[in-house]
Amino acid sequence: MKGKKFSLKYLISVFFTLSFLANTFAAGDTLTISGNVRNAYSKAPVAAAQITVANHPFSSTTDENGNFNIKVTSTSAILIVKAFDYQEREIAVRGRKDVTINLYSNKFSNLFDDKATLNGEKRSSQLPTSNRNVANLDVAQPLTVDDLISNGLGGEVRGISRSGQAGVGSSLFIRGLNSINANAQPLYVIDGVIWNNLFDAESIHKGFYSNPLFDIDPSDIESVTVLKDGNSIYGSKASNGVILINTKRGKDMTTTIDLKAFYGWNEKPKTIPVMGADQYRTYLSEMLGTIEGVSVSAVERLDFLNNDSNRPSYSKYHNNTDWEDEVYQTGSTQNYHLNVNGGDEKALYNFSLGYTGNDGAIKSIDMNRINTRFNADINLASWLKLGWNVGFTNIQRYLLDDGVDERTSLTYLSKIKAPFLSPYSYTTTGLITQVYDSGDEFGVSNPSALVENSINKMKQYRFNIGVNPQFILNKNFKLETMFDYSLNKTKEDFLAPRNGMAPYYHLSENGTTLGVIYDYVSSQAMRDLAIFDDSRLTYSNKAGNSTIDAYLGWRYMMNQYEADFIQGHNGGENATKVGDATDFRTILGANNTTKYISTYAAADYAYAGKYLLSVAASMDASSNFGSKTEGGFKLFGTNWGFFPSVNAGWLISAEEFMQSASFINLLKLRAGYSVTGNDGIQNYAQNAYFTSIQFLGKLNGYVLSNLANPKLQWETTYRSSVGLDLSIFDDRLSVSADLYDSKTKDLLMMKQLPEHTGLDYYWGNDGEMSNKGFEASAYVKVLNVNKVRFDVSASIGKYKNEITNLSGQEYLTDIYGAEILTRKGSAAGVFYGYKTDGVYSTSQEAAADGLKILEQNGSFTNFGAGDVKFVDVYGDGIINEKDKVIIGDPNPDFYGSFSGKLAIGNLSLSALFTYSYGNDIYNYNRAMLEAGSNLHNQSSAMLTRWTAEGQQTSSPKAMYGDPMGNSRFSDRWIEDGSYLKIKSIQLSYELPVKPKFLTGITVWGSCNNVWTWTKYTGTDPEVSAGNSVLYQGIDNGLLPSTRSYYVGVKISL
Amino acid sequence: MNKFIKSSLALLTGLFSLTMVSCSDMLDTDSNKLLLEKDHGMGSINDTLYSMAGILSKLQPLADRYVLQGEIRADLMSTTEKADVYLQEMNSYNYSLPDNPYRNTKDYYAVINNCNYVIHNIDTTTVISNNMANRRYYVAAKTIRAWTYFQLGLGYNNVKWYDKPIIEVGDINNYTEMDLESIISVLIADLAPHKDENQADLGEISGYPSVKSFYPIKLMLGDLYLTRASINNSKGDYEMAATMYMEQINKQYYYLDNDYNCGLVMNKLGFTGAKKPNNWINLHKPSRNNNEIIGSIVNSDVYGYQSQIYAMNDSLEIIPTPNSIKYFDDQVYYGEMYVTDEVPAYYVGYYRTTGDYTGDIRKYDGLISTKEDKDDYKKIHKYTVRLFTESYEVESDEEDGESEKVSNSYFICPITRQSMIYLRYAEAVNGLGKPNLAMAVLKHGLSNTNIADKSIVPNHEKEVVYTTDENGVIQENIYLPSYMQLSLPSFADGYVSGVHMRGCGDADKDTTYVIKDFTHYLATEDLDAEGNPIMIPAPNTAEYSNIIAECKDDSIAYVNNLIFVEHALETSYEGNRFFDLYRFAKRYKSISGKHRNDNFFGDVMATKVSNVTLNAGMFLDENKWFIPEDNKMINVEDFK
Repeated sequence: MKGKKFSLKYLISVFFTLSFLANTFAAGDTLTISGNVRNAYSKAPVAAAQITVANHPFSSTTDENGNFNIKVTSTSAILIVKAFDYQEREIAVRGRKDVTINLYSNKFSNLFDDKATLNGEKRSSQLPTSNRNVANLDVAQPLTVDDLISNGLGGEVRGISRSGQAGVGSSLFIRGLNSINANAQPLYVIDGVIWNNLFDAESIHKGFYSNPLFDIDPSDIESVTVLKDGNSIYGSKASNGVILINTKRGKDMTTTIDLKAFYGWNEKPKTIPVMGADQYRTYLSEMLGTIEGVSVSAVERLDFLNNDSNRPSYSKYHNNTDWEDEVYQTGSTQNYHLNVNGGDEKALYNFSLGYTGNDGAIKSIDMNRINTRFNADINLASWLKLGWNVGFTNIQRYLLDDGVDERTSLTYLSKIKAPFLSPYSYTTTGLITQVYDSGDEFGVSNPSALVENSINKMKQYRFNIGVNPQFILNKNFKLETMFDYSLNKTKEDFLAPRNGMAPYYHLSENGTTLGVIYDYVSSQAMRDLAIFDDSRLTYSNKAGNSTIDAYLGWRYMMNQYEADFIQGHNGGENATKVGDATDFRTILGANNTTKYISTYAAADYAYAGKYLLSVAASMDASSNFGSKTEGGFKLFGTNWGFFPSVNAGWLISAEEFMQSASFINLLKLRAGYSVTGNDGIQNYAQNAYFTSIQFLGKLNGYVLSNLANPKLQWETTYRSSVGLDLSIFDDRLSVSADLYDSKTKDLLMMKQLPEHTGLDYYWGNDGEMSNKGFEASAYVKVLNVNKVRFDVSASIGKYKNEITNLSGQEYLTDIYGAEILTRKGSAAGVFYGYKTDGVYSTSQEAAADGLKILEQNGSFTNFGAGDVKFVDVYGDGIINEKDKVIIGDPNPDFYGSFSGKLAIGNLSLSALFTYSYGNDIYNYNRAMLEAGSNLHNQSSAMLTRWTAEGQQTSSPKAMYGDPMGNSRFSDRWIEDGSYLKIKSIQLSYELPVKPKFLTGITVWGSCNNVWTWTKYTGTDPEVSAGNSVLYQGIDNGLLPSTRSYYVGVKISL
Repeated sequence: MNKFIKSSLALLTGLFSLTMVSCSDMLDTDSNKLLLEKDHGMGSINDTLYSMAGILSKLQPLADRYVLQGEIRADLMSTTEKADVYLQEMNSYNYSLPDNPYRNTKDYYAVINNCNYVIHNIDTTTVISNNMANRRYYVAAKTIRAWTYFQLGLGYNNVKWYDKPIIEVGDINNYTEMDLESIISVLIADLAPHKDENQADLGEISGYPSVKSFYPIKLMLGDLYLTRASINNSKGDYEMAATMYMEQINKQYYYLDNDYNCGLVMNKLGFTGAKKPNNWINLHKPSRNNNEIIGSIVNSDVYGYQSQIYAMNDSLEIIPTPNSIKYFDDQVYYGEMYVTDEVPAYYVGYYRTTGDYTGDIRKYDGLISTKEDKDDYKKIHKYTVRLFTESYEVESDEEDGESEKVSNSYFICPITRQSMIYLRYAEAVNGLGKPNLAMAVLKHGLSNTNIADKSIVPNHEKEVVYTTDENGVIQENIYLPSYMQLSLPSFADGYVSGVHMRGCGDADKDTTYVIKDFTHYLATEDLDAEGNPIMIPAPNTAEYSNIIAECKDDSIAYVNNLIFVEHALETSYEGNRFFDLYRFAKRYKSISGKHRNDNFFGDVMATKVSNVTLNAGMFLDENKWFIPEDNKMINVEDFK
């Protein structure tokens, strides 16, 4: 609290001081600099290059000899040089009167550019913060922007692909993990408007995430900027970082038309191999023999074990079906995009129309997206401009469940389904029909029938309209507001058809059988309505060597999220809608309204382009905050959180004393401190509320379901960082590195209530967490010879997350059979389970250890030969929860990406690698396929299962029901998730022949997910089971990103 | 934060918020899926009904707790090795596991806090059709709260009493800890002023009359008074208990209908060996017309909490103890028949023609018995008939407007039945020193005719005033206290049954089922140790009075034991046995004289035949009777 008061006091003072200073600066004397601009390789002069001075209106153009003269106001001025076909450069004058500037081809990546900031675009060198742009938005086939970020900023934003389904995108984590239970995903600000990232919205299609960012076609995007610090004007929403996405707007009055198209093929994924028909038959007979009460003779009489080919049932049970062939296919993706940009003096506009289609690598899964966007900027008067954004996206999908699910997930069914069965049914005389078989006697559905009969749709549309009037009050002041209305609607339908799905028992909450389910139908409608307004008064002034940009703003946001879910069972063979289903109906829903107000102020001050200071502060109020929060302060009848930040930069390379160090082109030190928040509080958690129940299914009632916690507030992250930007050897090598240290306090936790309240938990603020880490990136122009250019870039990120305080409590969270431990001294998300030490080879060996388990009825059972040898950590001879320890950590030691690009004339070849090292994965998929506890087919690894006394193996014996818990959550399922992946290789060629009506044609081809080096035995080590921190490193068997090939063309008119 | 900062921030905010009346209004949110407490004013009668339905739903998990904690901790039911370890802990009175769910009291307080909300917020002045419409729900909530606190006390001997709802996290420490004895007095004081309020009723829900979901306040008060009387042997409390029970009996015209009696088929030669069709078991079947069940908790198979008792019984996780079966076997069935139209004959016990049925016939209705599967003999038939299925038409939500047939099944857990009330009434009047009146409840049935019959209820158990009329004839004027005055419908008198008659035939004719003659102390034919006859003391001597008093005590103790046995015969496995045992144990501790027993509880429990043998001595410490509470560890499942 003391620190906060200190910051607040000084930030306010600084703001007013800067305003005063900016108005009192007098224009200084000017100097004239002369120089020459030339090609870095050939040294040939570059004519018509534009030279401007950062933060000042002076400009110049080179003559045919590449010479120019330009005025500057300071010996530390920065010259910005731009020329056609060349990379931009920034040159620090450093007291020189004559400069020579080498320019590189624009085949290289830009080091210097205009970056989107929270106050318009600014030169990257003039920023005291770490703002990272995603480069190369132009020719790319990722369907969604989060994949672009994940690929483009691998070491600075940790991105984990959600799955291989088209458009589901990636979970992104910036600077460690800044929450445990609340939203840990970045704040997305699209064209100045905050989008609800719906991080915890659940689809009725298992394994699917309706990614809001998929509503934007990447081809519509002008820039993507990741703000890792200095973002306190987004106060209580900013602690996970802010990603600014700006869509394309009208640039100039020349009309340009771009057409893009690509087509691609997606391969079937690599999968875990499973047992063949005969192997499975052997396994099955062994397994059946372990079922209590089933005699050997009864097992032998079973049709599927009888090899008498004269029996009518023989043909039904003697197939050799590769169920993967029934499920997987070669998928395809196509994308077409038209963009028109132009305008006149009155208005500039950008219009786009796009279509994306995808046939998934899983049969019957497809996706169609149509999107259109119209952005315009209208000059209504010299004092009034009007910005206009309209976007519409319509997405339709056919989906099937994904991940581990024995009833409706095709990918999982293809592994566990008996290979000796056929997709088709047989007559009683043993003749095959063309009718799909229903679920089998092992309780496994028929994936082929599900492909044929399921009706699993998702329709979604988003419409948004935004207006941005800007009032130019005078040369210094501008008043503008950004108002946006958006509606995001999704309708999902799901049918688990009777013809295909294996029946199963419907169990009550306490495990008793309620009946049999033969089919079920679900439907969910989701509606997210958002109204947003961001109004601000901006002030900018340039006087002498001082530049100030300040603004004062007010932001309001209202989100109304409504979800209605209904499910019914046993509608019969012709059931298609919930109304058809008669049994076990369930109706659930949410209707959450959140409102948010923020008042913010910020000022960016630069002196002589080398001393940079940025201060910002916001005060936020939200309907999700309690009425008596301990943090913040009370004003206007409500509680406000206060979030200040200060960042400073020193562009050392602009100093005169750096004249002698001419090999250093850019050297900037940055440092900052910020306080930001996370308001991802479960809606209404601060209120006492009642939920409705149906007493006996008839009478509506209310029961108290939550206690009010008026102290409930945001999580607060205090982060300090220092950074360095360095570019040397004529900008051939550049490095950017940041160190950060953050502490998050008041973590949102579910806290236990005493029993006498009648409730279990409430949401409260408790605990602290720290993140320490660094990020570094480097870029090298390796080769610049004639028409051959080769550059390499690399990035690395590392964080160390630690929960530093939990008020003496610790928490276990069950996710897919795993237990995730939240404990002081550990990182968030660590796996907590049993250690193992192989498998008992002999009874004697087991007896010597004498380990046992406590049965539910209080008796003990000893481990025997073929059982897993669990480590008795507690040492009492009983394997129970006392023996659990931390067995894995999903957080990597480091991660990142590197890439290279070779350009030979108009031909360029680029490759992108991503990597992660030191992260553990819980292979839940394998845990199910090697459990050896039921009648499902298992992975080939089970061929080495223990079967005989004395056998040395790492796979325990198969026992129905797994009475000894051999398959329990243990280090058997924890694997090293380190990997190095060739994410993409792309070849593009800019055609030299240009008809008159064209300005350019580029054709390209690429291969994605080319190869992965990893010890991980699952299908893809780049995996997580959800967006939340605690779901990281869990492989639920979702469809991985598969190798894909694309060809595309871009035509510019 | 100093003034400068605050005023600066005020300035910043003020620029953009001048139009705001209040930011808190701008941030105000609602939901139509949740009912925020601030919006739940309990302003309408519907709010009251919704809240009551909520309370009833929260009661559902307590049904199983009531049965298991009430029976496993007593002598009539035990666990088997198939039961989970937690229930086995309860069976052995040895609680060592910290996460034993039976040590968790949250479900009880969920009911209590929801009741508190209603009690605290309901508008009892609401008038609809000249009725104070909400008052009955106010009282119903108080009664349910009292029942729940009472169960908590019986379970844990420790309650956290609070009568204002806990709405905020900051309120969670506003309570007073009490033991069972203390909370009883608090509850009596809380309920007594409202004892005459009408019964709450939400109408028929899925075919089941919801009125049965509300425990009548007078029965609650009767139970509380009876328990307190057992603790302190207070005649006043016994009288209040008897009065409460009788007022409720009279209010609802409860009577034990002999239609429910079960028995054996007889012909003129005696027993045929056949059992009469299941009559007694019918009183456990939930149906609209079953008046026997007064209060119950209803669980649905789909909605809310589903009872596990059925499944636990079916899988033999819980079984009747041999003790309980012995209670049945030890009874004498007394059958009356007529050899000719005029000459009655009586058949008892071994006179039966076959050995299939012995003792109390309720055993064969209450337990399943098939010859093929001896395990079935251990199953409790009562539980299997508690299932109630209701089919009804619902209008489809589709446009065609067609209706669909939907069926829901419910499992009923009776909390109180008419016979239970009569038995507790008998307990109360026996405590008041009226063993013959109490015996009448068991043997003859309680009716005005039987009470008036001096051979059944002698005058010394009534208030008799002798007067002389104008002819000089001495008149006997009998004044009955209110708790001895029944207002049965006239037709019922002839059909009233004694509780014991429900399974033991014509017990009213049974000459062995009588209060023993303890007056032999006064007999002259007896000889003392020296061979001299024992002399009758003179009636007006202290010695005579002492002997009479001792005889009376013997009679009371004798009847007390019969009642204790009858509780087992009539209500075994229904959840009340621990409560019965508690009362009787406390009663034997509270009385003086030769019938005092400081460890009745231990004596009973030591005889319990189970896979665990309990030591009677351990129960000398009353704390051992109860379940130790446990503040369990945190295990948060699947929150993200």
